[in-house]
Amino acid sequence: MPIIQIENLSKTYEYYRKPAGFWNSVKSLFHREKLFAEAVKSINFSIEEGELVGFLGPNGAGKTTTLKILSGIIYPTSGSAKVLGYTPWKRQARFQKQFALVMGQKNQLWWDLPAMESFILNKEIYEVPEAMFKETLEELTELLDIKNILDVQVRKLSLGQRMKCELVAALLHSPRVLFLDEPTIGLDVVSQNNVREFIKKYNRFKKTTIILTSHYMEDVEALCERVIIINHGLIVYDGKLQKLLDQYIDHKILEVTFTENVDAKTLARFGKLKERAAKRAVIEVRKDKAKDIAVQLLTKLPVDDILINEVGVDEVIRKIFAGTARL
Amino acid sequence: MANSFSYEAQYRGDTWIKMFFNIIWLASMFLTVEVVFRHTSALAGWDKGEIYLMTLFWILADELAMMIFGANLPQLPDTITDGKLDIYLTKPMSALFAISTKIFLVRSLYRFIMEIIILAAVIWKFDFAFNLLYVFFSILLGLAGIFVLYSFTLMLNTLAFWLHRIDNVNVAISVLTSLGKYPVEVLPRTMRILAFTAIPIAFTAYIPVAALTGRSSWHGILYALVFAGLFFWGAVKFWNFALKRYSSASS
Repeated sequence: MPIIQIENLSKTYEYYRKPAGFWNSVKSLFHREKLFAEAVKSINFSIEEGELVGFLGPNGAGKTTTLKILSGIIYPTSGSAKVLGYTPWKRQARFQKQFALVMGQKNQLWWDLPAMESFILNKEIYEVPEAMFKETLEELTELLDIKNILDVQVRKLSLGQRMKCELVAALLHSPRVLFLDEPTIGLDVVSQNNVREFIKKYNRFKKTTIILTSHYMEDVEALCERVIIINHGLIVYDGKLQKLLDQYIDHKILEVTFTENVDAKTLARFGKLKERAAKRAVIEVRKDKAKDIAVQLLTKLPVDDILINEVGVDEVIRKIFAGTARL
Repeated sequence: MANSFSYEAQYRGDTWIKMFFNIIWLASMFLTVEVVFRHTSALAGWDKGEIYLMTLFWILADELAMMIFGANLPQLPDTITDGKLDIYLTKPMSALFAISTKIFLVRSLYRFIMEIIILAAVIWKFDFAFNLLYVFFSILLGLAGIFVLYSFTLMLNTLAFWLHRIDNVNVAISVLTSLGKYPVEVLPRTMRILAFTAIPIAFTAYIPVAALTGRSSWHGILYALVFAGLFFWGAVKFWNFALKRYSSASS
C-alpha cells in the first residue's frame, strides 16, 4: 500500500495585479484586478514506503506547493492527498510526529542560540524519550561530522554546517517520511556532496521515504532511482530516471584533441560538429555508434586524446523544461 | 522558557539597558498621577490611592502580557507574510500556542516582581483594607483581562492573513490599551460602551480594581468572566478560519 497517495490534487493561488506608476497606485487603493495562478493542476502519483523520489521542475512549476500540501502547511483547492494514511492539512499530531520537512531556504533552528538548544526543544515537542534522543543525536552528529559545533550560536555557523544541523533537528524523532526541499541550495561543492552522501546513507539504513526537490542534477543522479517531473503544474514524467535517460538520450559526445589541425569538412564526416578550435573538436554521434566512430577517429586522424562523454541528466531535464523534449 | 533564558543571557547588555528605561517609564506613570492630583482630589469618583491601584494593575497586566506573548504576537504579520509560519504548522503542537509563547520575556519577570513590590507599597501607603473575597475576584478578573488582551491582540494581528502588511496595528493596540489605566467614567459614552465590548480596554485594570474596591455587582463580575471566555474562544476560531487562507511564501 502506498505511503503517499495523491489524487487530482490542485492548488490555485489568488493574487492582484497593479500596473506601475503613481496614478495606478492611487487607483489600486480602490480597485485591483484579481488574478488566479494554478500552481498545481490535478496531479496524481503514489509513493511506496522506503522510496527516494526526485521531484523536479523549474522555478514556479509547483514542486514546493505540492510539498507544502503534503506537509499540511497549505490547503489544496481540490483533490485528495494521504500521507501515512492521514490527510495532511488536518494537522493531526499523530501524523506530524511521523514526518519532517527540511527547506533549504528556511530554517527551524533558533538563530541566536546554539543548535543544541533547538534539538532539546524538538525533543520535547516530539516527545522523544531521553535514551532515544541521545542515541539518535549521537548517530546523526557522527554521520554528519558536526559534534564540535553543537554549542556554537547558529548565526556563527557556515551555510553547510547550518544545513547539517537542520537535518539533525528534522530527524531527531526518526520520521517515516521526509520532505527535502532543495536541501543543497547555496552550498559549496564539498558540503553538497556531504549532504548528498548523508541522505543516501540515511535512506538506505532507515528505509525512510524521501521526496527530494533540487535544482542540482548531481543530487538527483546520485540519490534518486525514480523521478517525477512537474512543469506548469502538470506532471510530465513519473518513472525510473534511467528509463528517462534511455528514452531520451540517443547520442554521446566525443571530445577529441589532435596533434595537428584537422579541417571542419573532414570532422563533419564522423558526426555533428558541435565545437571546433585549433586542435580540438567536439562531435555529437549516435549513442550506438560512439565506440566505432571513436576507433575510426583514432585510426584515420592524428588524435592525441579522445573522451567519450555521456549526455548529462541536466541537459535532458533542461530540454524537457524548455519543451523541446517529447516524453 | 529555557530557550528564552538562554536567549536573554546571549544579549545581557540589551537586558540591562531595557531594565533601566523601564524604571524611567514607571516613574513617568507615577508622575502623571501626581500631576493630575495636584489639581483635583478625585478623578471621576476615584481617589488618588485608587488611581494608583488602577495604574499598577494596568502595569502588571501589561507586564504579564509582555512576558507571555508580548514579544511574539506582534511578529505574527511578518511570520505570515514571510512564510515563517510553515515550520510551526508542521510541528505536533498547537501552532498558535507555539507562536504566542515562543519567547518568554525573562526581563518582564524581573520587572513584574519589582512592580508587585511597588503595589504592596501603595497598598501600605494608602492604608487599603480589602475584603478577601474581593481580592479573589480581583485576581480572577485580572487573569481574565489578560485573556481578553491576548484575544484582542490576536484577532487584530490575524488580519494579516488578508491584509498582509499591517505595520501599524500593534501601535494602535498599544495606544488603545494604554487607555485602560484610567477609570472608564472619564471616557465619552460611546467609547465607554466600546471599552466593555469591541475594544475591551476596561478588562485589564478597571474591572479588577472595581471588584477589589467593592464597586462591582455580581452580574458585572459574571459578565466580565463570560465575556473573557467567549472573546478568547472567538479569537481562536478566527485564527483557525484564517489559517485556511495561508498561502505561505514562495521559496
